[in-house]
Amino acid sequence: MSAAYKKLFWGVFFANIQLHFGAITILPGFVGFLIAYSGLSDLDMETETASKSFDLPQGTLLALVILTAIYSAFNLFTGSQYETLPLVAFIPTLFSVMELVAFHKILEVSVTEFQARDFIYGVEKYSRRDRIYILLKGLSALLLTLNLVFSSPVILVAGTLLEVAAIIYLLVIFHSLKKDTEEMEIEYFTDLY
Amino acid sequence: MKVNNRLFLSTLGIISTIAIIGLLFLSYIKLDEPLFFEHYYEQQVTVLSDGDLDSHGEEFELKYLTNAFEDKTVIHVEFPEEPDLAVQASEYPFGISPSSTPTPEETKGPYSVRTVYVQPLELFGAEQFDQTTLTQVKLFFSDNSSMTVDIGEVNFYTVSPDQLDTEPLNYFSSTSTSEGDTSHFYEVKSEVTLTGIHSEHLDKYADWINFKINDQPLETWIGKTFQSGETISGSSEMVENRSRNILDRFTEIKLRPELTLTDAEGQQHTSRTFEIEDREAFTFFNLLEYVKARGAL
Repeated sequence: MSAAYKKLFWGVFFANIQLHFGAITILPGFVGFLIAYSGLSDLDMETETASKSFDLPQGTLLALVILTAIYSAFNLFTGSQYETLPLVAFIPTLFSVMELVAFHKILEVSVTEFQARDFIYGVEKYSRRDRIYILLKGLSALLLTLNLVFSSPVILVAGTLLEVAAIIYLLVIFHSLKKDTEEMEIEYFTDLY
Repeated sequence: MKVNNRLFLSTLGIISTIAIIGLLFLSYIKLDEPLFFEHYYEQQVTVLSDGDLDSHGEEFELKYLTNAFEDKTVIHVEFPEEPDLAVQASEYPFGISPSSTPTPEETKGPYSVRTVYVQPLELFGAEQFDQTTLTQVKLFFSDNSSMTVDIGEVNFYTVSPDQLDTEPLNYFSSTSTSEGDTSHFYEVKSEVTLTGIHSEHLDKYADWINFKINDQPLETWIGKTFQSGETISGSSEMVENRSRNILDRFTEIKLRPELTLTDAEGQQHTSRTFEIEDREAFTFFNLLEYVKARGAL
């Protein structure tokens, strides 16, 4: 499980932090979502709880891979000239909501898995962290959506700061999940032998 | 987990509701066609000795409001009242290549304020430019559409290079603020008395503009004499505009009142003051208020 969370960590990292070399984006956002999707597939194989729980986050991450790839290609060929079209302007909101769905569901399944393994400390810790993540990501998506209509620098700055906070917080969660599951796995094997 | 799920579903519900309302609201406030502001300009044109216009640096700007996603731009203008006036017009400041710079525009949410730069090039009988007033413009857009709109009043006045040399005031420096407040400093070349002030529009905007010479209202200087070598300062300051109605606040003003100065021999000279400008800081909310006031929703 810890290797899967490591992949999820790097997936979130590369989905949000993009490297540019001149006009070329070396690692576009969809690559990050692809890494996260691969991590989630690994997690699916290693968990004991119902694998159906992963259908929604897996489907959402796959949709994010495809849609962000199309969006990047669209922007590459048309520049940013269509970004102010009302429907196009709301696409980042859609991506934000999809991220929220995928990562909240991953955290939810992780908590269910901890419950199944009687890892009570993990259940409480990650339920609380999931709640904070929903609040940070939800509030940032809400403010950035409002900013599309009102174009207020105050709303934009607040929304962007919350978005950055949500990304960093999610990275912290996956890093911590990796560590905790590592310890859990060591304890499991120690008990076994 | 129940708490988390409830929080998650509520968050999704709120974001979806806001996004749908936002999208409907944006469709509602979308403009069907560009809205041109009113412009009240006193525009200088220098007529050279051979009758040609020296249009270098004597362009004027027409501002309009359109949808932020609008990609058609103004590529040419004509003035129905003055068909002989040849101008070049562009949404790019002259001298800047359109391919190297995006259209200079101020985008506020779903709206953007754009500028059409108009440069008079040629006019048959240019010496009659003094009587020229433009109130309408026919615009030609990059998508081959065109429209004729009211633009307020652009009043031209002509000067010749010789006239500029013989003006009794010698300009030497100026300061200005982003709010449109300006101060200009002149040296009096030879003793003159201020005998008159003329402006097509200054009276109309007297309540908006504090126009002063040496920190005293302009009218108090009529009949007063300035000595040779004396330094005089002229300043204009826009009064707080919140009390003005929204249509007035978005009126673009660039005035250069004409001062009549009489020298010791009784000879009259005219000299234009510095440019008095009024600028409104655009926000999404005041643009929306303006669109509503224009009945464009």
